[in-house]
Amino acid sequence: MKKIITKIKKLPLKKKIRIAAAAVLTACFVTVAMVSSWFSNQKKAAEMYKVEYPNALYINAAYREDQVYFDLGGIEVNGFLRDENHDLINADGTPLGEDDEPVPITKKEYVFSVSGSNTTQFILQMAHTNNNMFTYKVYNATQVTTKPASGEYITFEPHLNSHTENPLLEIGSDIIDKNRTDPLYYIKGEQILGDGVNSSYKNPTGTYSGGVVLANKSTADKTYYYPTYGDNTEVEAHSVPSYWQTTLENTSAEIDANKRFRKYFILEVTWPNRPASTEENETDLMYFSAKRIA
Amino acid sequence: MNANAAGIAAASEDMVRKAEEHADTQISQLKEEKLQHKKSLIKFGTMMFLIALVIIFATIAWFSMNQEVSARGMGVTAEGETLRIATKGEKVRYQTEFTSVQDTYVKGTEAYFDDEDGNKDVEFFLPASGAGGNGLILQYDTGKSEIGPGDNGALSLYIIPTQDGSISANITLDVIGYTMLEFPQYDDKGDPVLDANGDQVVVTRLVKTSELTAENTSGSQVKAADIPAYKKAEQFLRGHIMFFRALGDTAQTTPEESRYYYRNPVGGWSFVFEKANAHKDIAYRVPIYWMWPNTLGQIALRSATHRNGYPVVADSDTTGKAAVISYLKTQKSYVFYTAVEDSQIEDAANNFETLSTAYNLADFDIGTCIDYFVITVNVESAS
Repeated sequence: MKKIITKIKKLPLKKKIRIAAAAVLTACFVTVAMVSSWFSNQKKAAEMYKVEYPNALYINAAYREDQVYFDLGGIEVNGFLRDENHDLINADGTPLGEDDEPVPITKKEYVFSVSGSNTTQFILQMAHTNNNMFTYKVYNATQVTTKPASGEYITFEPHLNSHTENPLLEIGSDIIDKNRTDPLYYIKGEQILGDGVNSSYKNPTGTYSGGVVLANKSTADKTYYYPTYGDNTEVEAHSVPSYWQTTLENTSAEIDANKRFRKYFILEVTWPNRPASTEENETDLMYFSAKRIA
Repeated sequence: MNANAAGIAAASEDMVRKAEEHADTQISQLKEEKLQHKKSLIKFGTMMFLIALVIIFATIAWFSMNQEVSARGMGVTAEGETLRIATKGEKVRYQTEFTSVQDTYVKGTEAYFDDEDGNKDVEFFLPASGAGGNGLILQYDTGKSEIGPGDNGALSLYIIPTQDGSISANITLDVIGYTMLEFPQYDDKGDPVLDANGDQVVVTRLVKTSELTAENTSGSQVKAADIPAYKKAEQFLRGHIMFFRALGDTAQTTPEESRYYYRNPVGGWSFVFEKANAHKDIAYRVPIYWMWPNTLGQIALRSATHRNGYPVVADSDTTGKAAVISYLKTQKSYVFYTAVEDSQIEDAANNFETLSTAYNLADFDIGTCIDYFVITVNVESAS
């Protein structure tokens, strides 16, 4: 290498220039030849797509608020109908006259929602323990922003800063306004879950009748009982949950351009007037779950 | 006088001779110089010849890296230009977003060619000319752009040969995920910056999911601890987008139990596209279909029991079925969220719940971690 360098140094200026020019040209030619041949031999193409939020299902309170606002606490089974000022009223809303009997409350209703995307069919399941003398039923509901003139409906007052769990704020024309405080109204539709409708009851049958469930403590039942309780048969009957399921379809009208849907439901809790026994009146656990089918 | 005159004459003769001699030397010297110059010219010429040799060898060597070089190596430059690629369609998906993350692929330049169906002067888009050549952004006319499980589509890719003869091209596909990072803005005091509606201002930036780091996600919704999950989600996306080479039958007129989506699964990410007796300057479609199957049953189950939706390949198509099941086995870490065994995939009907749950969990991760994806196609002349 040193020899070559000294040889080059010894060369006259003209030759040095010539060599330099030749070297640069060679380098250029080789590079150009290689680069252009690479690109002409390998062609590239590409296309970008957006990923839709897939398979998402959310269970939320009314107006798709966070679940904490679906609050089942504080059912007073021995209460009477009262107005906003806590004064007793008749069933038609008029003040209670001197001769009128107070109207006992035997029902309480709550609104919840199921929403999601890319779902045309899902199973809605209601599971609850049976400690109380309550009957649980679920109805379809329709959300409206103006007070209905007639019919059964539930009034719901939205809460501020209550949309943190469900990112689907825009579903078709139902667009969540996080600052909304004006009430919303949910019109009661047909019953879809619970006693007396064609939804499937998922406990081992046999001891079930009329809304009161006594567990079939059969460990042979590998589908429902065994996965929860295993070989234990001494399980308190009322704490064995009842499972109700129904398959719901989203029609094309219910699915928006972004393949999102939302459905509202009303949970109705009823109890007999003046329940005689309070022994079993404890806490019930209640679960709602939704499972996408397609 | 005479003697003087004779002396003068002799002196002048001598001078003339000397001058002539001098001139001769000058001439011969010039001749010598000319010769020297010629010699160096010849030398330079030889050098150029050598350079040419180097170029040719370099080119041949380059091609021999990709393909066999035969004695026909003379046609080296023509070899690279045997085909061009093109796309068709009026619309471009997410051009702004795509351009914001790379500069290799640009929208093509309009050009008119006849197609293989005999249509004249059809509008195509060819790779735009540019430094070193450009990648082509594929275009489309119909089909969804926001993709979820159950969606499928076709790439609009054409090959236009520059000479008559057979086309043989190696097609390599890939799927690359991108994540939209969201940076909520705070002022100097650490209070949220609000917009006119009172919502916090959020700056977004699209980043290749495989290139997420603790540094570039700092301050975004992506926590450093979750980055491996994001990268895993991109692998799931790669596994869940399957490629096929021919359409199946989903026509309304076909009985429902006989419907299926595709034939000829690629079973991976590369195949060879061949077209015999192709003609110069005619656009030939390269059929590439992709699908994100909605449920695992559409891929793995051999019969309609337990299955929701039509199968991706027909149950009766034993070769196709074997190919997609083999794909599930070889790419299982790209397809399933939890570890599954080959034997479970083989006997999918009896392991359906496990497999289906693992497939759906992976779908869910794709949906939560990946916001955009790019399908890339490399076309390399194989002949």
